[in-house]
Amino acid sequence: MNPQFKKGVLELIVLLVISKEDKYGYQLVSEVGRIVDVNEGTIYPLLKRLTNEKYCETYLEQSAEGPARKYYKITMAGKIYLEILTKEWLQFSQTVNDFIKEMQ
Amino acid sequence: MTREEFFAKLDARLSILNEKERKDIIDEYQSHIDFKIQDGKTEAQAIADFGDIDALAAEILEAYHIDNNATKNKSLEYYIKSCVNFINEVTERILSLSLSDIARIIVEFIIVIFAIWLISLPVDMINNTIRSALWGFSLGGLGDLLAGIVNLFSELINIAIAFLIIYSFIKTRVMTKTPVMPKYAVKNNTKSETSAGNTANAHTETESFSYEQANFDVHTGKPLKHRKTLGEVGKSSSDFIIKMLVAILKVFLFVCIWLPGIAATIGLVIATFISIILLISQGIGLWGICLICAGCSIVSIGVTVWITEIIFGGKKKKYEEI
Repeated sequence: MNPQFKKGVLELIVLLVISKEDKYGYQLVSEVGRIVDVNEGTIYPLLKRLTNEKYCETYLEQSAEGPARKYYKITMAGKIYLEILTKEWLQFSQTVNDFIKEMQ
Repeated sequence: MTREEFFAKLDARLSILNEKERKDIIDEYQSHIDFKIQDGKTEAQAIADFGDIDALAAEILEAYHIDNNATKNKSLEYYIKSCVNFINEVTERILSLSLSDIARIIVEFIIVIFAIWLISLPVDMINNTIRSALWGFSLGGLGDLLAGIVNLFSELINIAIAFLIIYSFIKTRVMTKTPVMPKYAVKNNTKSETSAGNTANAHTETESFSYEQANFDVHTGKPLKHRKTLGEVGKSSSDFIIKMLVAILKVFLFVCIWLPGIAATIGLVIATFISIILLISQGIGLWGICLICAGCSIVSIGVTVWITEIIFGGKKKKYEEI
């Protein structure tokens, strides 16, 4: 799949995943990896950016096995941003789909 | 490539970042590799999955570059986002408190309001003294203007003090309440016993027990960073309220700060000119007033420009591509 396509929706997918439930890094990366085939390394910088822009925040939680895990939690600003992104995506994909049908 | 080699290379490529950020991102990759190994992959495989190290480093730096812009440019959007998140945290926190805690906070809040009133007294006294002194000099229209400015400043000081006190009150008394862990355990246990007859009920009680417990560090009993709490109940309505608050805040900033700021600037500049004209035409001791007006107009221009930048400045910056 075209890598530019993936980059565009990655932010939307990551926010969607953490909007359901708080996730720690690896959990999140595996879940996103199921939907888009993307280099796992690239999701962490994205998470960093989302955190700095206050769309999500992090906290540490002890786990039964191994060291403390860093969880990502969506913020209210993130939820509003996600709503905007989802609307934009739905509208955009609809327009493109219609255009493809029209041209065929 | 071994783990050490990989991180040495990555660290070298990220040397432009400060130590804390570098450690942050490298810790994430370290734990990612740990998880992969737990899932049955080899270390080399896990590292190979990251792909080309140069591309990866470029990707990370790219994300930081955007960050730097975003944090450097503290736009209105940034302030609103921080504000919304803070309000949301506070509402979540309050909704998760027990009745006795809420009663405690209300009593404390009344004391805080009283303290704010007490602190405002000396400011008001100074304000009144200066104003009566100004009237005593019988400066006419200019005296009234200066009295108005003094009054405005003293009110602003009062508002700023009240705001700071309430903010620190929420930060210290509402947000960081240290609950006692055994209390939860005992409370939930008795509940489970009383509802032992009803299996479904007992089930939810146990669930809430583990949920409360998950908020505390098992070893120290200290609360972990605040998680989603019972505040979820009020989510859909608080969603709407927060959207409304953002809109109100925007309008408030514009109407209550920006417009008066512009008006004050124009007024002060005119006052400066009038006092200069008076000084030249009458030639009498208006130097002091002339300088005060000039100084105030410079301050006022500065403040207005700053607020204009906050309200309108950040808007140009749209979300950049990843």
